[in-house]
Amino acid sequence: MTEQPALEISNLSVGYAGENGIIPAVEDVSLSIAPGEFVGLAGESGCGKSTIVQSILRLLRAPGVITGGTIRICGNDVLSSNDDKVRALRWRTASIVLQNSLTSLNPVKRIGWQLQEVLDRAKGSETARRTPAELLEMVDIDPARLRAFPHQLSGGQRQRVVIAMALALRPALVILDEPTTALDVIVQQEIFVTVKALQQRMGFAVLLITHDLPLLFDVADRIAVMKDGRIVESATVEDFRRNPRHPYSRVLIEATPRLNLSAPGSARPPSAAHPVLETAHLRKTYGDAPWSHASALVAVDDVSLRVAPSEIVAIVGASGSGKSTLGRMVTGLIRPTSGDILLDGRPPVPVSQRRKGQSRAAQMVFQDVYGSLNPLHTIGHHLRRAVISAPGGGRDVARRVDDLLTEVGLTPPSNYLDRRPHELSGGQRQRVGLARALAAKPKLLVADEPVSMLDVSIRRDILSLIARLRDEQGVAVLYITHDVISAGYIADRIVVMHRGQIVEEGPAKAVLANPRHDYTRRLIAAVPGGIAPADVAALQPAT
Amino acid sequence: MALIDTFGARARRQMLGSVPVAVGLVILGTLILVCALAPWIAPYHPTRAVGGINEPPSLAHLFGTTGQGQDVLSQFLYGGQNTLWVAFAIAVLTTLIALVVALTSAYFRGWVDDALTLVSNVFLVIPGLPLVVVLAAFLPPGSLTIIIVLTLTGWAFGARLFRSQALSLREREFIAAAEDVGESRWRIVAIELLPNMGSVVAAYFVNQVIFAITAQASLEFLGLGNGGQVTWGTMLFWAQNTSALIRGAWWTFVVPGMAIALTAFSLALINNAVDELGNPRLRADRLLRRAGFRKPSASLMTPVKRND
Repeated sequence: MTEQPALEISNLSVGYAGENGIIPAVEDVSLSIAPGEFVGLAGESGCGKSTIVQSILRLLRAPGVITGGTIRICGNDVLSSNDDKVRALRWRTASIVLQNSLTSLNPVKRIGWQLQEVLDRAKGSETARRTPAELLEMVDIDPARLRAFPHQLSGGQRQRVVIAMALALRPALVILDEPTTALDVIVQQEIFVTVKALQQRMGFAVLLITHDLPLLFDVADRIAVMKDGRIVESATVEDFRRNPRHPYSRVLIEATPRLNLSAPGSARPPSAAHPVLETAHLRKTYGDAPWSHASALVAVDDVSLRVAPSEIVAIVGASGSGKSTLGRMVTGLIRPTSGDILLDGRPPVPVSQRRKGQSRAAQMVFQDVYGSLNPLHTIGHHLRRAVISAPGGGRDVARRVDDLLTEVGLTPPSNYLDRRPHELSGGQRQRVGLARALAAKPKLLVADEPVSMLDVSIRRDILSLIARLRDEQGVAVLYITHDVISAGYIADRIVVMHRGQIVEEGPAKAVLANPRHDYTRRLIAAVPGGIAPADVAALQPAT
Repeated sequence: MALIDTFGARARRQMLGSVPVAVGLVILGTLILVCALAPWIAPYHPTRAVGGINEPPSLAHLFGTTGQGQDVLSQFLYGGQNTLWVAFAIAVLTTLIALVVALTSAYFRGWVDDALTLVSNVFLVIPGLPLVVVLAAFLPPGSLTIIIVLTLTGWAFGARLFRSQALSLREREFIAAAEDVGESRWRIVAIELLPNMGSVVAAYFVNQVIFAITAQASLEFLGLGNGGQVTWGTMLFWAQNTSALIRGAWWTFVVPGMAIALTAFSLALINNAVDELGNPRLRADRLLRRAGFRKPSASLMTPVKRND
């Protein structure tokens, strides 16, 4: 008898119950994973990839309904088994690692207890004889941390704990649902080095869901691409890279940003003009003790920075490096602990002292395209309010709103005025966010990760839009990001932040081609698609 | 406007789509209608002796007569008027006070928030009923006293509820975006923040009506209301005073008791739909039921539907 596949999905259809019957989300999908194989499932948001993985262990929440097909895990039929049998498969035969490690761990239990809880499911068998300490060691965490609570671990460590849990009972299949999307690239690289090493040792199969194609090129054996609820192409990584057959695959590869140092850049000589933004010895601390002057956390430490008119400066750093805090201080949303900010020669106006019609030198573009627009109000409302409180607002509001929508490429404007945020795509919402920021004709846009929540194929459109706005309106941009590649794509100058301090600064090309600081080098090396598989082997832990 | 547009369509669909809610609306609507029409449809004057003492239900007196010879049906109709408007007034007032306190907390934060939280905590720990009895005993009896007393003791929980909701909404990015654009803070609270609290406020309001009706009836039953005024609570008070139970005149206390119970019941049914507005989980379960799955999320296992 030949070995059974670790996972075999055939003709699977999944839908969501709505007011008018079941709306299909996944249609007629077939996918098979051999034992020990590493398969990547790629696709953009809304394509149904998460719906599929959650259906595999029948974890999909109401109103999700599986409407047809079969799913077999190591030969066990998941869809026709009763609840107890499916429950027995979870953890032992197949396990899943979800995106948000903070919600997959119980916040009030120590991690050692939580690992033991999983081990107890296999009581009596030999795998149950493993200890939580062994599991932690397996994923390169000091076993002394067994008594830690989830919040005492970093995001990367938490995700490692969840991976240890998923591997505790030696399942034949591990499903990773965007496990590193919330983490920065260096941590992501370390985690996948660990996962690959463990996979070679233990021989489990992996199904990795992600929107990040270069990451799959680095780690997967085979890639399946999804679009609109169907798998449009499935091929080995080499075939897929060399010769993508489906047009959509080509679009995806095309849209994937690459570290490209030969492209003609927009780097302009720093103008001698009066800077738009100047900060001196900026510092922000949290949790200050009143007498000792000791701070629990130094978010931004002695940052001095200049941005010239119509210059795009990228602030690059990992999560927690203080780059967002810097951006919020510059726009006046929070106050610095010490140090000076000069925006167009004046300090920023704190939000509590803002008045209608005041000129505003800096405006913010937010990261969360779902949360930064009020769900109850129309696009017209958002822009009208921004125009009315801008200097010289109040007259010709409707025309100005139309102009703004045209500038950001939402034409014809009348199509968008009466829509609410949920009726727009992510990219369109970010365009509205840009239009709102431009309403006050600012000299500086502070864009905090404006594209990190968008699909790869529209990221470049939004970045090009930002670059175009700079060219047409002469607005300077402070582009805050964790993504070195996009910084290289759009910025004139790159500033690298690490633990609240600026560690490197210079023209974009020079920084990327020739990083001087060790941290910058690590950041660039960790970009998916940047390392060859041979390097991964070299990086494997000694165990 | 926006609130009515987005919530309206969804609310209409959910209200009409669910049988319990429709039943609740019909019961409450009927009660309000007949009580509002009391002057025209009530057969007798509610406080005059128009029949014998404790007459059982008959064609002349459909719900019988009281220990003082008054017509129970007329009392039920007129009493409903008084009871219902007082209950809704209390619900409106407590909801408003709770909202004002909560939004002020969220708007000013800092020491104002601390002070308001302290005050509402004090009102929360004061044992409700004893305070109500003491207050009602010192103030002149009547509807106004009952409104004042129950409003004073009833707003604190709502303030806690709304404050936590407002504080969490305040951290959302669209509030920061409105601040960045230069909106005034009161405008942010009223236009950006408050409409997003709609479902919580609605659910709290319906609960407050239930609370007000039962608390009001209890106070009046204890004799702390105005005995000369006809309400469902005073009807119970007089039934007790004339030893209706011992004499077997069940119609004098069953009628107002049922009226109070029916009102609370219909409001609880309506609350189902209001809950669903703020809780996607409940909505999902209903949609699954509609698609033909009998016990949707009992096992939390994704259901499988076979077409064959």
